[in-house]
Amino acid sequence: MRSRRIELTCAVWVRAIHHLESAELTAAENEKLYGKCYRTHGHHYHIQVTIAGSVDPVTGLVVSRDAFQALLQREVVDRYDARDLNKLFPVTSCEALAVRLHAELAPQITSTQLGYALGATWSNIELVRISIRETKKNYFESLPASAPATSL
Amino acid sequence: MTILQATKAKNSSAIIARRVNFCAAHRYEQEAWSVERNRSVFGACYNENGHGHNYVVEAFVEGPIDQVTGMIADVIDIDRILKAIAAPLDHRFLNLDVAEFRDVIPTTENLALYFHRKVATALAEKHPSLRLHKLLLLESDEIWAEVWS
Repeated sequence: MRSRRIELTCAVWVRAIHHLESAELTAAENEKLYGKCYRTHGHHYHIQVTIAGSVDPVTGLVVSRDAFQALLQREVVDRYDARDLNKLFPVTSCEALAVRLHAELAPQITSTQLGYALGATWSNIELVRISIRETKKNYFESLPASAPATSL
Repeated sequence: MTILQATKAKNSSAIIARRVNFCAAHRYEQEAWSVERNRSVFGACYNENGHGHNYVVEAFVEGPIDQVTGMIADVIDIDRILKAIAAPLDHRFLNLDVAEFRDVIPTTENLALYFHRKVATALAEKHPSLRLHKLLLLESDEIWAEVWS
């Protein structure tokens, strides 16, 4: 089969608590702005990490499944599952989480990081987007240019 | 302005997507490699007796909205095309039963490329006004591949 660039997505689940709150606002203002989201609550986030790459003709893979899933386990699940996100980040809106995860994972989604020790010719792997389904109704997606946003 | 008038005025195109399912067994093995190397690259996917998935194929089809019917295509036509392509893979051991995958490892990526090629060809033959925009192949809710045209 001809080698062409395709996208591969691996998804993980994260159960975490958070609430929406702005340090710039008073308690009354926060309550008025964010409503029920100002109260501490939790979500079962479905976090989808999409990479793009060429299919390696020898293995038929864009990337090692085990390496990709291990990276997501280590960098997403182990860090954020069963945590209070507000203790980790100043802003925990889902769009901010998507952009933050994009910035955190982008440097690690590389041929070197994911192809190590395998000897296969992984080429030009890059992170395309982070998609987060917060609830059945709410879905968020980072854009390709999601730059490291240290303030989030 | 009615919907039909709107489509006539703009000669609108749009995308529709249709899903089909199939269930199959497969195994990842590069025959040129040693057991150790296969094991280190493919992990459990290298297990001798294979394993199975409930695959989902979703074709995103782009085309002009027909001015008479208000549709891009009858989704049943798209469904027939997808089912005809998926049927030879359904309830099969892909490495053994499907000629195309005797020499090509039936990874999620290669299955997505396989469906992309077959669906694009079938659309070109049967519905020249339609174009395959994207082919999505889900191995599970945790892993899927997308091929963009």
